[in-house]
Amino acid sequence: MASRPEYAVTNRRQAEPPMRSDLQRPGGPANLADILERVLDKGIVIAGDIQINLLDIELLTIKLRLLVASVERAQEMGINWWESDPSLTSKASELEEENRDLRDRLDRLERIAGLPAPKEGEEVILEEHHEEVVEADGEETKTESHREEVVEAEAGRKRKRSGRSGGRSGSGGGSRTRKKSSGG
Amino acid sequence: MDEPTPTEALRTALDRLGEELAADVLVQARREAVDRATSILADEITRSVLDNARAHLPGVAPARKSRPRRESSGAPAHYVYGIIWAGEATPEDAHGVADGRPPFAVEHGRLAAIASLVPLDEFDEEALHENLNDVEWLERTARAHEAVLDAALAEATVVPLRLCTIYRGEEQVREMLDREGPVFEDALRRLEGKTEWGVKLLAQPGALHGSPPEGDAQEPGGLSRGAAYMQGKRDEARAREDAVRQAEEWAHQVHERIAALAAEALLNPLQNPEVSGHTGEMLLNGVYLVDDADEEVLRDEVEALAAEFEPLGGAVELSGPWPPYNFVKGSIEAAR
Repeated sequence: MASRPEYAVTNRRQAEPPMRSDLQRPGGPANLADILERVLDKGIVIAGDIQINLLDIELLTIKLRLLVASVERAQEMGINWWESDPSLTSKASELEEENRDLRDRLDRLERIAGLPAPKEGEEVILEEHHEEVVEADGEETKTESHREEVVEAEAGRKRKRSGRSGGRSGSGGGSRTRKKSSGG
Repeated sequence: MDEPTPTEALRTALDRLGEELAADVLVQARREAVDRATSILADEITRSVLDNARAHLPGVAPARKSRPRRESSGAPAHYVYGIIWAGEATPEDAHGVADGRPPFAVEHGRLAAIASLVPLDEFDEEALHENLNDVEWLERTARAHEAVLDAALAEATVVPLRLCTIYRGEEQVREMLDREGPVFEDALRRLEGKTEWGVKLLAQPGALHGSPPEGDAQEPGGLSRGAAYMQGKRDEARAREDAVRQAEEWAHQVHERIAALAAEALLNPLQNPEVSGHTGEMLLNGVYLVDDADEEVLRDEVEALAAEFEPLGGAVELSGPWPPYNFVKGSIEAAR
């Protein structure tokens, strides 16, 4: 089988007579993550005489490390079935996930706004002018709004003050929508 | 027309809410962590107080601490690994979870439980609470559990049970077989002649980077510092998006092709390199229930995929045969 392309096979039948062994590469013992994933999380769960709680705190940590560590990539790929796994929908993982989501959104917002994350004690003023003109049925509606935000980073916590003003006016015209937005 | 940008206004409002919530969530998480730690400590103290109080009560046997552990180990419990049809070969030369004690069959009606004896001083509730949190103990036990089922799998269709399913004695094992009989029989029939395999797709570091940032083509002085920074940010974001899209395509391609020759297919969460020890980024962690007759087809397909992805920096890994851990849940649902 020397001409076969290189690929890894974990040989999990070494103890057996050499059945199909010509196709299998002698591998080390099976990956611990593969085993734990199965023996802790899968298999039929029936009540034994000894009540055990596989969700003891530290073990939960192992589970989370094992299962959710790559959650971002998995979510990007739309794989999220474990969110409905009752053994994983503990408060901790919910919070962790919510936390991460919110932080991601923050990062994204800051990126879109072209803002570096404010450092402690730093004040960022975000000024936004938004003007929209809608012309329909011979009438033009113009909306303008002005927003000023002051973001202060204080001991890792963000506080925000914001002011807003807006106005609207109408006049005649064709039928098109124009959007203009400027940020600074 | 009166509210010109309702969706944008809504999004702005939501984003602002999210921003405010982020800080609150951190505070709340910290508070809950403290609460949980407090409650664990309280439990420990309670236990200790109770033990001490018992020691002072006349005529009441002191519990736990002063009870010699050897006493309970005198009557070993039955650790059950999995279920097979009665009469099938039991892997008697395998090493069980406790001191390598060999497995044996507890038969009841048409079914048999693969069990081995375990000392209660290592496997009762109190001991398990500690042992399950001992990573070395957990690994040793998980590997032994798996090794027994592997040996059984070589001879028969087996329904794997979760780690540490333990009964006081043989009688209780029989009762369990009686009670859960329909579930096991359904699972055994459904899994007959089929085996679980795992297929992973890994991207070597750098394999997923999208097209090089266009910013390189710009003249160095062509952009102001601010604009160059923004351009850089945009390029980074684009490269990230490209990588995500590519990862998706790769994973989808591999999963679809393996799933096409499998009886059932499931996606498992991607593993953390810290735990699984793999290099590169895991893009797919799929499990497939494949007809034993199709094993060669599966191997050929994995090889073909491996050959296709190798030049691109992707590695396709096959693991198995596994006891059908990932495919027994459907049976429980079907039978209940």
